[in-house]
Amino acid sequence: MKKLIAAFSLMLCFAFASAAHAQEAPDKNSITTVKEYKYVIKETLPPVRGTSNYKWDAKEKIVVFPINVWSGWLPIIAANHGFAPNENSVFFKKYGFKVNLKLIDDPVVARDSYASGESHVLWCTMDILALFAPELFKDSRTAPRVYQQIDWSSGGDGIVTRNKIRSVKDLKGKTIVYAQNSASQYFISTLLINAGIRLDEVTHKYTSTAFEAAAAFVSDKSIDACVSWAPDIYTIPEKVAGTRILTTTSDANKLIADVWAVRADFAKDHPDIVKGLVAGIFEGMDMLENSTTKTTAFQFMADGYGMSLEEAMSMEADAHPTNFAENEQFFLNANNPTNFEQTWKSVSSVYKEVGLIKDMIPFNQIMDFSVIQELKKSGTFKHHKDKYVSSFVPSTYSKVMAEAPIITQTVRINFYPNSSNIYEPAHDITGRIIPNTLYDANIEATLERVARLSGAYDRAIVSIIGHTDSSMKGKVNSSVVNRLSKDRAEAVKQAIVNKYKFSPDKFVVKGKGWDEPADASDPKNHALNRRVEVSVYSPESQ
Amino acid sequence: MKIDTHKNFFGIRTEVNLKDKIILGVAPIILLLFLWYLLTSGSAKTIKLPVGTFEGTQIAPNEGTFFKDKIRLTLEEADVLYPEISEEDDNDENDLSPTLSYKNSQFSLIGLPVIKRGKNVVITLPPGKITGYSKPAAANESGKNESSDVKLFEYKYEVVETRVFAPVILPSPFEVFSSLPQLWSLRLLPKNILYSFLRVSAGFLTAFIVVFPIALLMGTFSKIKALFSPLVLFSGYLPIPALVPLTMCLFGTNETQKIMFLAIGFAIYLLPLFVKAIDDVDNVYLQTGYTLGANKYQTLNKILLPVAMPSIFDAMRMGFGVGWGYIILAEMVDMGSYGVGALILTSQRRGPREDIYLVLIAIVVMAFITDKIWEKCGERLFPYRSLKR
Repeated sequence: MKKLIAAFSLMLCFAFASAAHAQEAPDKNSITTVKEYKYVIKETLPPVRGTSNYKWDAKEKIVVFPINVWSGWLPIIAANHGFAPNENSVFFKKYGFKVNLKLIDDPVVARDSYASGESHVLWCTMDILALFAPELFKDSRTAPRVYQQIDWSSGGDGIVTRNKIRSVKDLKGKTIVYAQNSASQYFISTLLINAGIRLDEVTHKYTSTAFEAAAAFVSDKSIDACVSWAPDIYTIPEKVAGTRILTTTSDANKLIADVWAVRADFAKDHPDIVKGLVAGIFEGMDMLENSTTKTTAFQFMADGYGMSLEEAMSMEADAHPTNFAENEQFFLNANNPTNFEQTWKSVSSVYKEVGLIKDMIPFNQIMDFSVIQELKKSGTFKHHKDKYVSSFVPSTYSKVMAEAPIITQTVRINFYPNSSNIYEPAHDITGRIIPNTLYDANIEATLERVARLSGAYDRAIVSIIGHTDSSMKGKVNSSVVNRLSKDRAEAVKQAIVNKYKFSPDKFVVKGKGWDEPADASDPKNHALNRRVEVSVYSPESQ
Repeated sequence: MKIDTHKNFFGIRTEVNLKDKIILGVAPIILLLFLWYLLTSGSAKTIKLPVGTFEGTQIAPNEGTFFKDKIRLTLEEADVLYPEISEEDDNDENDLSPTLSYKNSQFSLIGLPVIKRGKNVVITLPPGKITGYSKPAAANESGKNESSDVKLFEYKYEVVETRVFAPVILPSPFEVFSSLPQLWSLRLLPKNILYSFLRVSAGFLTAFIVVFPIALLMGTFSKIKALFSPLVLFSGYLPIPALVPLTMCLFGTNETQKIMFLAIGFAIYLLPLFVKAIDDVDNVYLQTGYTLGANKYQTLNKILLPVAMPSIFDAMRMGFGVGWGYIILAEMVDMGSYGVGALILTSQRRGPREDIYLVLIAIVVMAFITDKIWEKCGERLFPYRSLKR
């Protein structure tokens, strides 16, 4: 017995050594600087065939740009000096074309107008784009090209629940209402899948718009939660007793991205106009720095949407417009866990699991980073700084866990016995290391999942809790396994901090050893118990 | 059979026999289908490519194989050559499209999407047909290089970009009808139609039960008519979609809401027609009744109702179609519980677009059948109307 413990502690020493090692140089392959995409756009974007098929007057040069009721469009409204095409707009003065901002609130109508060539641009969230893309790809001319991100939804979308539901995991077995095939569906499905709740473990009720989802939740007491928009998500808890906000995109502030796509044939014929649109929108963001022009822009917005100025201004908090620096992160930084590629992958995988789409279209057939890259080279917008960086003060697990987490994601990482090195190579039967192998071959994909959730909840504090199985219960001291599980949690934290450049203070780690089995009714299920739990806590709870 | 439909075409109130009725009724439908075909068919193009691995098949498909969906062709040990883009001169499209280099032969890839994966080249072929294989001897495609023993195939496909209507807006008749099996069995079209039909019927019945007595009172008693007629007038102008949230608040989000919403739609349509039907009963009948000493109840029961009934029935027959117009709105809430309206809404968002048009056709077929039933019932109930005067 003594011998066993001695051997165990020896291995533990090794574990510490490798943990320390892991903290310094976790992976030779992981990149520590901003990694730019290397592929050639022209080779991945589908070629355009046939003659262009959109309405265009070469003399007037009016780009038809539909938008919805959403504060993210404020920069382009400012740049365009209102909705109608006019000669005071930045686009006309600087780039020689006019923009007609048309209010088309229904995404289906906007898509149809885009597909028929009546408009050149399609407003969309990334999730709607994923739904529309397969059909739009049927005709190479309507294939969407995305050049710029407009904003992140930041409080505009949210989930309201009855009081008894405190965390996403409480939604199991409950009834949820939301607008089908919309950002709402993406939001809730992402949360459910991340929380490990199978989609059929929840009763889904669908409506056609988010507004009706909110109305259904208010009028039907048998519905436990709804996914909707501002202002409904904020007014319901005020007006309807016994309801609360579970989470909003102000927590998950890098989950729902709004972009605009342009027709492939238009982009091919008028690359200068596309560049002008991108640059003009960034200039619109500069204009909003001045409070007078900002008020004018809100007045234009109010007129265009048919609202009062106050109403228009109250929408400001729903979205965070993404400036050039943030677009650079979105389009050019291949290591950003919330870039175009990762957001697209996340949407595609969620919608594939939900059964809404069959094939994933590769991200590089839609994303065109050429304009952002050109603007970076020219340095026109180098005064833009990434304003969407969340700051964290060091915290501890006991402080964070005072409130229930919004969501808990359980991941399984196969650690080598007594080791906390997540990049541990595989060993052969004699225990010798096999070079260039990994004990857990899926580790990168697992880390990507953790990084995606942590990235989407950019402002939130994330706890990483290591758990071990209880196979050695009674044989070794519990403090030893607590230590080991904490080291393992720490190793996960270090790996994603290093690879995805998170602030280390975003994470708190804790080792719980064998104290909390995954399934209380089956505490001896060792395979289930060896796990890492990643919980997201609302930033307000810090 | 002699066709003389054109004879006396503009004759006033001439008799149209059954044969002519069918010919005249079907002709516009055929014309419509032909127009549809014309607007949604692009020109065909044939391309010669070396035989590689077709996605999902082990051996090369037979001549004449038709691919309904796009198919990926993988060529091993191949390369894609991209032409240099020169800034000055305007290259036309064909100059810019890449060239496939395979076993010392070069093939032009006019506008086909192509991706290089390591040493392999993956070409995405649009839906089309293999029209033939060429023998190795004839493999001299470009003429520049010595041909090796590369087996070629001819692929004929439709260039969708040459269509008048983009496929996203209007798919071709062929695409629509080939989507039917999937819609029928996987998306359960019959079940969806049945659900919608039951909802429409239930809504109709509810509306009838409420509207009929009111219309009777309004048609009979002028003061009651004065009481309700402003409301009836206003309700006719209401944009019904705005009522969806209100019905949800009153009737929840389940079947009741859908049925009640449809009932409101029906009631608004039926009430004025019912009232008018009773209004239109000629005073001659009433006066005859009074002369014979009929009391109020008898006037209503023996004169007004029987005389107005055929018109009321006609109103019902026409009105039944109104429900199908509102079906999308009714099924907006709780879309998971079947129905053709929900089917259309989902297809609009995530496709296939073909299904929208199929559902529309299915509704048209439904309308035809139900209307025939109404007609037969009408003949049964009011046989005297079809008597020749």
